[in-house]
Amino acid sequence: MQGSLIDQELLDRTQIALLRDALGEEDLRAMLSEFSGAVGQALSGIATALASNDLEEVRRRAHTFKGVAGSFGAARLAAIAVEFELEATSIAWIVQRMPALADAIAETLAALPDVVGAPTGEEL
Amino acid sequence: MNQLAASALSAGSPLKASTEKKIHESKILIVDDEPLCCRLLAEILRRRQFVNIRFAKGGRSALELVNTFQPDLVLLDMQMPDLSGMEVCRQIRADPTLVDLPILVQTATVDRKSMGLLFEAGASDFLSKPINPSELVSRVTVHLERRNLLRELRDYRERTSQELDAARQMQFELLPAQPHQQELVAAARMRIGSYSRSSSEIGGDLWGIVPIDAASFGIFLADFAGHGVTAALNTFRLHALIHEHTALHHDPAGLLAMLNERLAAALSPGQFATFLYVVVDPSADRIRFASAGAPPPIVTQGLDGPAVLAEVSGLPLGVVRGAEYELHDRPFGPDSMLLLFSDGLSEFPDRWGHRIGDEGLRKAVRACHPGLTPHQVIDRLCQAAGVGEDNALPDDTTIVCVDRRIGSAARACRECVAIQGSMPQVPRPCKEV
Repeated sequence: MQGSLIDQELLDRTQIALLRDALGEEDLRAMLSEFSGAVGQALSGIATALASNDLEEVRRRAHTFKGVAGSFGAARLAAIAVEFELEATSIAWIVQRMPALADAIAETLAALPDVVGAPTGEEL
Repeated sequence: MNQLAASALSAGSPLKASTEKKIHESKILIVDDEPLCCRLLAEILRRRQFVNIRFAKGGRSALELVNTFQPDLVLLDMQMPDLSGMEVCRQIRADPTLVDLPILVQTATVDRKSMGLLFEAGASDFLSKPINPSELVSRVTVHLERRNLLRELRDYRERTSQELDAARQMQFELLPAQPHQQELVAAARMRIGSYSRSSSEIGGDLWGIVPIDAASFGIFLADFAGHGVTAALNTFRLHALIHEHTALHHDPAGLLAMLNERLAAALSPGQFATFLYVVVDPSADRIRFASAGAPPPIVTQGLDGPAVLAEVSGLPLGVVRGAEYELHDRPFGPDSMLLLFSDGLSEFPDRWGHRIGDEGLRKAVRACHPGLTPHQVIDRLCQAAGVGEDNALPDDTTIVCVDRRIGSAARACRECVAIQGSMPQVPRPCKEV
């Protein structure tokens, strides 16, 4: 699965374009400014569940994270969340994947502001 | 706006003007444990003028808000910490008042079994995740429009039903139930029984009795073409005309000619009425009558005498101005019986599709024992024609039985008006509407 994530696009530009069309660029930026806070909360929730050795709670948190990440076009984050929710076999397995999640979060938050105003190159 | 929403709100749609404002004022409840997802959905909807939006962070708070906020539509996430979306669906649907509340479930699930379970639990529709803004707006719009249309339809049916109930009551009051009308028959030492049923809420049949002098009276039966509201309104019109022209109550042919003139001028093309008017004169032991296309009355003479179809002809009322009507005259002595009926009886198709017809009714009357009361005679005729209480009637049906066989009656029907000192008098006509 780790190999497939390397191939996973960081962002779903189509989804972001749909949001920009629906909300306008200014409102989309405002929503995305809150996205980093939501990501931080999700990460914190997963970490707490890991500390409690509660795999079910990790999966539940991952499900919520998948939803918010996917809705804002954070494709790689959503893919990692799916892994956590559906494929994780143990706490240790998830702990091993946490650095990849942290890297993906950093990359996503860095890339999003530039993508919001950029042309998608894909007309719907 | 995509095709789905565009077609629903196209410029030519009659929905557009009347429902667009209502739809945008509709109350929408968004249920998601991730606040940012709630906000994203809300912002997309607000951009499309949906202004009345509330949030619930979990299943239990969603159920509370369903009761207090009373949303017109719920956008429901499936996985929540306290109560699953599936369970929220089930609990909402368990309330009979919420069976048609649109519940749109947000789900990334695509397998058919899970989707089937969702719909079994009561979901109205689903929104795929990640949320597609156009899909969101389109599905919300369509479901709110459908809800508004259902509500408007329900309101309309309720209002119409109330109005029809009022109209039915008013029409019932046109029928001769007042004591003074019964007294007319009492003065003539006769009994009368009647049966009147509409094929729908209100009908186009009407019968009545009018006084002429101390002993004689007139009796009429009208049947307007078709049934339902138009026919029923015409019965009110006819009732007013009959009671306005009292000077013609002794003159069957003159009364019909007058009614025809008035109705021909007033009725729309295609509307007309068959009408039979009979003056019962016990002092002369005769009846005088005229018909405007009505089924022939059946007259019996003597306890063992024949039952005769008193064939008469004449154009129905309201067809053409200037029509003239022939006056007929027959003996109607003691031990006679007169039966008036609308073609709802003679043309009623029984379970095999057979219709008894005028001749069949005549035979059925002939077969009635002279001891039967008017009400019992009517029951026998209904049985012979296949008309039962549980049968839906394709046409309004009225039967009136005027009976001079008082002395022969073995017993009085408690549901018929009995006019004989030796018989129990129960002031209740056997009338059913």
